[in-house]
Amino acid sequence: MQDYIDDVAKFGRKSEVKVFTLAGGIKGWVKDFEGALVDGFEEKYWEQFK
Amino acid sequence: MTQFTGQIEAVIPAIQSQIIQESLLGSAALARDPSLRTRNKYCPPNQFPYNQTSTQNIMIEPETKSQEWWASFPAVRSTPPSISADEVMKLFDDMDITPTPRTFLLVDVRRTDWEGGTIRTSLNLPAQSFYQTRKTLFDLLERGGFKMVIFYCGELSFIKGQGERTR
Repeated sequence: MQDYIDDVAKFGRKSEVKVFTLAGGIKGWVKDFEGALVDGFEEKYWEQFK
Repeated sequence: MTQFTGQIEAVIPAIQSQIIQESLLGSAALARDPSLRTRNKYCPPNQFPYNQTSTQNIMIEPETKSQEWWASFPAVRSTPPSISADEVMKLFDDMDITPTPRTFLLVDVRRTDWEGGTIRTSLNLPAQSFYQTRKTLFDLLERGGFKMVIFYCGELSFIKGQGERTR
């Protein structure tokens, strides 16, 4: 995504959109907050990563 | 109608002769001389599983190399910054106390979407098809007034795998 934004910027298209990656992915999220703000949270699924 | 029938009748013998030629020659003949295969427009010679280096002229399976799915896409050049789960949680908190629409978008790039759940408000855009989707997503983000797009996959590390492909 960032590569594409960089590419179009070369042709004068400036964007305010900033690209990030979530540190730890969803596993990290579940580790920190468990099911908070997780739609369709399946506790059993995450047990294998504990 | 008769004109069409005539055309079809002209084509059928051509196909039939192709089939007959092949059945007469047999696969053994084709194996001995792969150039025979070049006469057959229905099976291009480059698809013929023929081992030219072999002295025995045996049929072999076409070589199939298992490649990673991202091998056909351009290499990733950028390394966007990461954002911690705490920071994202704060964005959610702020979302409820600001009068303006949300300006961050979460994108779940796992192919087995929603496995075990997904972070609220996320879109699921599998990394495998993201290369084709990226332009549309960019347009939507700009028109939707989004300031941040946050990608995540299942892993603790973004070093390898699908997350990397959406940067």
